[in-house]
Amino acid sequence: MCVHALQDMHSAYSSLRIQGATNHHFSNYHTLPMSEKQRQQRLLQIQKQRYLGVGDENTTDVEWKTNVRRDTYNSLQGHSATLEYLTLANDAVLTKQQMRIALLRKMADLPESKKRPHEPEE
Amino acid sequence: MAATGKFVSDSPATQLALATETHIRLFDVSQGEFRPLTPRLPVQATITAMCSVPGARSADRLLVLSDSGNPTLLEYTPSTGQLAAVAAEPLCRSGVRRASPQQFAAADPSGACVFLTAAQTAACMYQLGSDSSNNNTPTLGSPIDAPRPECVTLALAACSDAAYPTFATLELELAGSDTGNNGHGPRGSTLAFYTLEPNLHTVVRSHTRHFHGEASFLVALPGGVPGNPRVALGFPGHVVVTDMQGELTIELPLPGRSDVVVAGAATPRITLLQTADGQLLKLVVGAAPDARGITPASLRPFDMLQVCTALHILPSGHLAAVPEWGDVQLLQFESLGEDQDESESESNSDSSAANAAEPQTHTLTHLARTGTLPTLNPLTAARFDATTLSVLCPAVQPHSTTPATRTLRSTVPFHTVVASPLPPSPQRLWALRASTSAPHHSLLVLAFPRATKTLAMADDAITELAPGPFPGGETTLHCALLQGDTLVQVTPGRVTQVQAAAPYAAVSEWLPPAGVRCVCAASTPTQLAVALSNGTVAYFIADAGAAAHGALLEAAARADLGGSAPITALAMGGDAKAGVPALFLAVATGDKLLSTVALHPDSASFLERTSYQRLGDVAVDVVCVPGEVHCGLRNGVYARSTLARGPESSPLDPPVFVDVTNRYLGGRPVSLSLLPGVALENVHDSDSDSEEEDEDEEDEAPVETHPCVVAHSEETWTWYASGGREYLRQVSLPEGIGALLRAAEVHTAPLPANGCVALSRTGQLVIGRFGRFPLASAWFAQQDSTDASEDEDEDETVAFPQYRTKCMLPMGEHTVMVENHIGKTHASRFSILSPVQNEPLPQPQHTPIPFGKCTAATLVEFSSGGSHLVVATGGGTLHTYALGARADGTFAPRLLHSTETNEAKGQAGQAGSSISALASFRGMLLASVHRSLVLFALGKKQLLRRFAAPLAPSAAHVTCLAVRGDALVAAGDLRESVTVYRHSQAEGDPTFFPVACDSVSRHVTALAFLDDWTLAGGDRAGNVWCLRVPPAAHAPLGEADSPAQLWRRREDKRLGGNLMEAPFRLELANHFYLNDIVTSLAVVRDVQRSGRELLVYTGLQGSIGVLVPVLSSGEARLLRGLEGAVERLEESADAVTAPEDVTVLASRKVPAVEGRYTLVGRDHSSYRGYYAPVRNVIDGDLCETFFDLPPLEQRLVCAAMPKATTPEAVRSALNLIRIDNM
Repeated sequence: MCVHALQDMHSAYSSLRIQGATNHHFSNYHTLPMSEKQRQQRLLQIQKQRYLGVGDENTTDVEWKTNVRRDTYNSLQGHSATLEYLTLANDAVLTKQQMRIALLRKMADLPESKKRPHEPEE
Repeated sequence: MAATGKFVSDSPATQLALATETHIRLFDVSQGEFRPLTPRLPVQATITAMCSVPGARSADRLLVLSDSGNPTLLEYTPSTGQLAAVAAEPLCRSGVRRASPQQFAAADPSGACVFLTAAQTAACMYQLGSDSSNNNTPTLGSPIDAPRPECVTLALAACSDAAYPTFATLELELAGSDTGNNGHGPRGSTLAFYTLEPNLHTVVRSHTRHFHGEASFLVALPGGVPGNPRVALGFPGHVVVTDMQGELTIELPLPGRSDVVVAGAATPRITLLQTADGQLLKLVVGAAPDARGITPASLRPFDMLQVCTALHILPSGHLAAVPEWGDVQLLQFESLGEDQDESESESNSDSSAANAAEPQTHTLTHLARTGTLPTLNPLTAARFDATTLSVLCPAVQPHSTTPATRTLRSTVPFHTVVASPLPPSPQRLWALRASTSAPHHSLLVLAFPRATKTLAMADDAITELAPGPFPGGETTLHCALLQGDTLVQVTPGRVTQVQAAAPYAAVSEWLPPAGVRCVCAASTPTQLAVALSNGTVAYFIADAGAAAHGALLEAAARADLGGSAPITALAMGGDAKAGVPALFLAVATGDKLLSTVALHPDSASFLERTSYQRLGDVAVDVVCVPGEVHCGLRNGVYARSTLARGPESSPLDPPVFVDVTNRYLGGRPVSLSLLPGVALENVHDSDSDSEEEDEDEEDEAPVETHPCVVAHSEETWTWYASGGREYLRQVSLPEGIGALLRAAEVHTAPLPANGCVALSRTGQLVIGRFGRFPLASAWFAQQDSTDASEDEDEDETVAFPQYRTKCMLPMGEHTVMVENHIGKTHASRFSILSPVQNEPLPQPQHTPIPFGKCTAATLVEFSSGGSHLVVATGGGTLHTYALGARADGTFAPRLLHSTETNEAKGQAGQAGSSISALASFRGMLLASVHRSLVLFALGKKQLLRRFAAPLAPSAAHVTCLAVRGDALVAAGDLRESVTVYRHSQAEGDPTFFPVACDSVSRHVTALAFLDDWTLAGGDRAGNVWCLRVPPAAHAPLGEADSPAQLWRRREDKRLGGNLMEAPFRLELANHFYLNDIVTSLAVVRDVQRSGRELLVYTGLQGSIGVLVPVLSSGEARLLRGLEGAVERLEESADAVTAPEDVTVLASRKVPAVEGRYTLVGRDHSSYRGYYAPVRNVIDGDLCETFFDLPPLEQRLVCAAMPKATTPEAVRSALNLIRIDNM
C-alpha cells in the first residue's frame, strides 16, 4: 500500500529542494549562522503547512505512519481503478460508494498520537 | 462521472457529459438516446471531479478537476465538435493529493461560483466572471479559502433557495483533532454550510450540526423556504431531512432490505434516492408545515435499477443512470409514482417470485429504458483472437442475468442481403446506373470467360435482360456509363458504345488494329482509355456536342509505353466521386513498372509517360484514390504509391511518385475494387433495417463519404482513410461466402448507403452492405452474445447479475468461462462458450462448482489423460474436471476429484493459504501452494504431487504464473514483483531454482513472457512494464543447467550468495503508466497477417490497448521526437512570432489558457510517469493527436522535432504503424 503514498512524499521532498532548503544545507546545519538557521526553520514550517508529509526532528513514528496511511487511503479511494479493484476483491462490500466511504472513514479514524514534548518555537 | 447541462449554445436540449478518469465525451440525450456530440476526448490526466456550471447568458460549461492541479472550465465548440478549455487556474500541485481541493466540486445553481474541497480539510471557492476585453470569455477568480477544522469530506452538495451561494458538506472530524474523538467507538458526522459573502469576499462556515450516526450520503433538496435550503442525509437505516437553520429535522426509515443510500438526484418535481441493493426511493417533503405544525414527508419505493454512481434527472423527462458496473442507461419516466400502494405491490412481485433475499430481475414500473450505452466496466477477464485482433469479454447487460459475452471486433462487417449462385467462373462485374442523374443503380453486368450477362435490378427483384445492351457471346473487359447517358463496353475485339436506355441503339464502335486486341480499360464519365496488346493505350474522349450524343472520339496519338512488356492494368487518376476529368492515367506493365501518363490535352507531355515507379511484382490491378495509386500485385502484396506535385511542376502535368508502401495480404494475387463513396461512421450494424429506419435516414443530413478500396486475396480487405488516418482492415464475411473476388458499389432503394455487389470465391453473386468501419476514435465494434432486439421486454426488465466472471480460458475455438458468485455466497460455476456466437453451449449450460469461490483456474492438457479444467477454491483445494468433449461438438463436464493441498491446510490462517495462480507446465499442473511451486500430475483419485520447490524467501503470495517452454516459470507476487525460476533435472532431482528477481516491489496483476528472457506485466497501481533477465543469465533452454553454474556466472559479486534470493536482478526495460489495472495480458502474433507480435492488454475499467514493438531506431527517434514536440506544443505556440501565424492563432478566438491543447494542462511526462519515470515507451495516443491538430500546429510540431520534418512524413509514419502492425 505504501507505494501509493510514495509520490506524495517524493513531491514534498522535491519541493524542499526547489525552495532552496537543500540537503547540502541540512548536512551543514550545525555550522550555519543563527540567522540562516532561523530562515531554514521558517522555510520548513511553511513546507509543513503546505505539505502534510513533511516532518521534523519532533515527528513521532506514529505521526509519520499516520500520514503515510492517510495518504494511502486517499490514494486508494482517489484513483477509480484501485477503488474498483478493492471493491471487487472484497465480498463484504458490494458498491464502490460504500468502499469509498469506508476508506474515507479509515482515513479519519486513524489515531494520531500526541506530539513529543519539545521546545516551543519562537 | 457524469454531469448534465445545456452545453450547446442556442439549443434548448440537455446534454450529458460522461467522463472516465481519462476521457470525456458529450452526448445529446434529449431524444432518449445517446447521440454523441464529441468523440471520446483523451484528457491525458486523471480526472478527479466534474460538475456542470450553469451559464447565465451562455451555454453551460464543464468544470473539471484533475491531478494537473488546475481547475479547468471546458466549453463545447459546435464548429469543431470538441471541448475546449476556456479558463484554467493553477490551484495546487499535480497528483492525486489528500489536502488539495480536487476531490469534490459543486457549482452554485446560479453559476456565480464553484466550491472545491479536498479529501482532507482544504476547501476553497472560486467566483466566476467574464473577461469583457476578451470576447466575454469566462474567468475563474482568485480562490477564496474556506475556514475548516481538520476533517475528512464525505460529500458535497450545492444548495438552492439560499440568498447567497451556499454549499453543504458532510464532514468527519479527524481522530486526534481538537473536536474529534480518539478513534475509539462509532464516530458521528457533521453537516456544515459554507456561504459566500460576495461583498466581503469571504467564505463563512456556519450552521454546523453534529449527528451521532455515520452519515454517508448528502443531497440538496430544492423547494425549501427561501434563505433556508434543505438537504437530505443518508444514515444507516434512515434518511434525515433537515435545513440550514435547523428548523426542520425529519427522520425517515429506509424501506426494503438495504440500509445504505449510495446515490440520489433531486429536482423540484421529484427526488430519488438509491440504496445499495439498487432500490430507488422517492422522497417527498412538503413545502411548509401543515395545520399541526408538522411538515409532511415520505420515503417510498419507486423502482429498481442497478446500483449507480450518479443519477441525473433531465428536463426532458428522462433519468440518466450511470451504474457502477455495466452499461449506462437512459430511462424515461412513465409516471412519478403517485399510486404508491399499487407500485409497491408490483415492484415486490418479481422479487418474491425469484428469490426473496436476492432478486435477479425486476420489471420497471415507473421507468422505461430508452437508451443504453455499452461499457466494459468491469473487464475482469478477456480472450484475444490473434487473427483479427478481436476480444471476447464478459458483458454486464442491464437486462440479462445470463453470462453474456461481448465480442469486440476490429474488422469491417459485411452484411449479406442476397446471395445467389452463378454459372461457373464469373470474372468481373459492374453496377451501372441507367443515366448519370439516376439516384440508384439499375444494371448489373457480369463477365464470364466467354460470355457477358446483363441483369436488371428493379425494386427487390433481379432479372436477366434478354436482349441486353451488349452482345452476350464475348467476355467484357470494362463497362461504364458515360456522359450523355451512353454505355460503353470494352471486349478483347471491340469497343461498343450504345444508348443507356432500351432499345440500346448503337452510338459508336471502335475496332483495334488488325492483330491487336484490347487487354484492359479504364474510364471516367468523359474519358476512356483502352490498353492494347501491342503495348499502347488508345485514348478516347466523349464528344460534348449535342448532335453527337456523347460519341467517343479517339485521340490522334496513342500512348506508347514501349518495351515488350504487356500492359496489365489501367486506372484513371482522379477523384472518381467528384466527376472531374482525370489528369493522368496510371498504367501497370508486365515489367513490374507503374507509370503515369498525362491526359490533359494542353499538357506538353500529353499521352507521354511522366513518371514511373518500380514495384515488387507485376500489378494485377490498379486503382486511384486522391493522392495515391494502389496496386494489387501478383505475389500477394498490396502496394500504395504516394503521388506529390513538385513546386515547379505545371498544374496540367500529373503528380509524380514519391513513395511506396507495401503490405502483404496473402499468397494469392491481389485484385482491387474501388468503392467511390462509403460512409465510415453513422452506419447501422443491424442485419435488417425496418422501413421506419429507412425513412428516418432519408430525412437526415447526407453523411460524409470516403473512397474505399476493397482488396481481394486469401481474405477480403478494405483500405479507407478518414481525417488523415489510413486504415487497412479485414472484412468479416458471413459464413459460406469465403472471400470476395470483385466488388462494386451499388445504391438501391433498400441499400441507400454502403451497398455493395460482389462476386464471391464460392461462385455466388452477393449483394450486401458494409457496416461500421473501425476508426481510431472507435476501434472496436461491439456485439453481444444475447441479441437485445430479440427480447421485446428488455426495455422493461432490470437484471441483477448473480455471477461475475473470474477468468476466460481459451480451449481451441471454445472458451471456458469461470464465474464467481457476487457477494458472500461461496459458489462458482463454469460454462463452455461456443466458438461462433460465444454463447454457453446448451447441455449443460452451467456447471456449478459447489465448493466455494474460484481463486484460480486453468486448463491443463495432462500428458496422461487429455484436457482438464482445474479450479482452485478457498482453502487451497484443487478440483479437477474432465470436460468430456463429444463428437458432435458438445461437452459433458464431470468432476473427477478434489485434491487437498496439505501444506495450505497446515498453514491455514496465513496469507498464502489460498491458491491464486495455476498454470500448465510440461503436461502437468503447476500451482503456487503456500510458499512453494508444486507440480501435480493427474491421478485416478486425486492429483499426484510430483515435486515441490520452495519460492524465494521474500515471496508473499503468488498472484500469477507465466510459463515459457519446458524450462522457465515466472511468478508474479502480490507485492514482491516477479521472480524467474528455471526447471532443472540436474542430478536426477527435478526442481525449480530462482534465476533472477526484481529489486523493486511491484503488486503484480498480470504477467506474460515476451521472449525467453523478457517479461511483460502489469501492477495494481496501473503500470505496465517489461523486465529482462540479464544476458549473463541467458543459457540455452534445452541444456541442463544447475544453480551452482548460474551462481558462478553472476557478475555482481559484492554480496554473498547467501544474502541474495537469486543470482541475477531483473532489468527494467520498459515502464508506462496506463491509469488502469491490467487484468489480462497476451502476446498475439501475426494479427491480420502482419507478421509482427503485439502485446494486448485489458484494463479493469474497460480499457483495451496494444503495445507495438518499434523495430527500427529511426522509427523510434521519429516517434519520440514527435511525442516530445506534441508535449511541448503550447510552448511552441507561445513562441510564435511570424505575423501570419500570430493572426491565425488570434483568429481562433480561443483564449490562451494553460492546457489549451491538453484540456486540463497536465504535464504529459509526469502523468505517464506517475509512479516511475516512463522508460522506453512512446505514448501512441498522444502521437495520434497530431492528426487532430490544425495545420499551423502541425507545422509547429514538425519544426520542434529534433530532426525537422514535414506533416506528411509524420502522418505517413503513423499510418504505417497502424497498417503494418494491426
